[in-house]
Amino acid sequence: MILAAAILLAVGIALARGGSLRRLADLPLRWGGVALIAFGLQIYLIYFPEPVSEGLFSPRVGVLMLSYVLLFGVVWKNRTLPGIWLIGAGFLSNFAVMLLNGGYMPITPEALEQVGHTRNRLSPVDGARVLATKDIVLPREATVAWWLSDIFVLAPPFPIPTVFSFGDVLIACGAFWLIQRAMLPSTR
Amino acid sequence: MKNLKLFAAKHVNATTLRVFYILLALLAMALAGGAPDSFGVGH
Repeated sequence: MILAAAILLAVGIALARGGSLRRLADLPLRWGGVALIAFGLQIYLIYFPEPVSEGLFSPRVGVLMLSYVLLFGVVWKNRTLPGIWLIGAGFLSNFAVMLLNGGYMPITPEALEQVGHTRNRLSPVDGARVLATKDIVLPREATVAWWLSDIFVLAPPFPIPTVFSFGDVLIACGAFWLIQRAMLPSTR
Repeated sequence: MKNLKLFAAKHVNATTLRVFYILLALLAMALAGGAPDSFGVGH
């Protein structure tokens, strides 16, 4: 949700700066359909999760990892676009920490509580999945590469309380850069 | 699907469709590649 909001905000800012949607139409983005397939593959895993992670070699995690492989393909196909390498670095960061922690994005119980999403935790044990996310609940000391996991907290009264990762920041920055460059007239 | 395509061809111009496609693709990329805890509806 926070990333969708970031993209819409980027479009709004570009319009306020004198950019146009007509210019966005000229962006030579390729393999957009593959990105949609990657997202589609994740919907079942996100909205119908198992209560506790079944481990890296489970079919669900396999599908999640496959969706990231498709996303890397989209990044490669669009490698000449501005900001796309930043988006790719964000994908890689999230993919790496998920791979190192059994296939899902780790989040601490404390961070989940800070944003008031504890009710979405599907089991009281470590490794519990969180409804409508790609997260598993792990204590900080049990998380490999903790600094790449969901650690940045936007707590209420922020309108969209969220915990997000360094990779998410890179993706938002890359998308912002791409949209600004695509919608604003070239300064050269 | 065929009716949808006919409707789009009649009433929506190519630029509008292209903008819609690009925004949809960027949203899909961000949602599929990102992993915040506020992914879905209800948060």
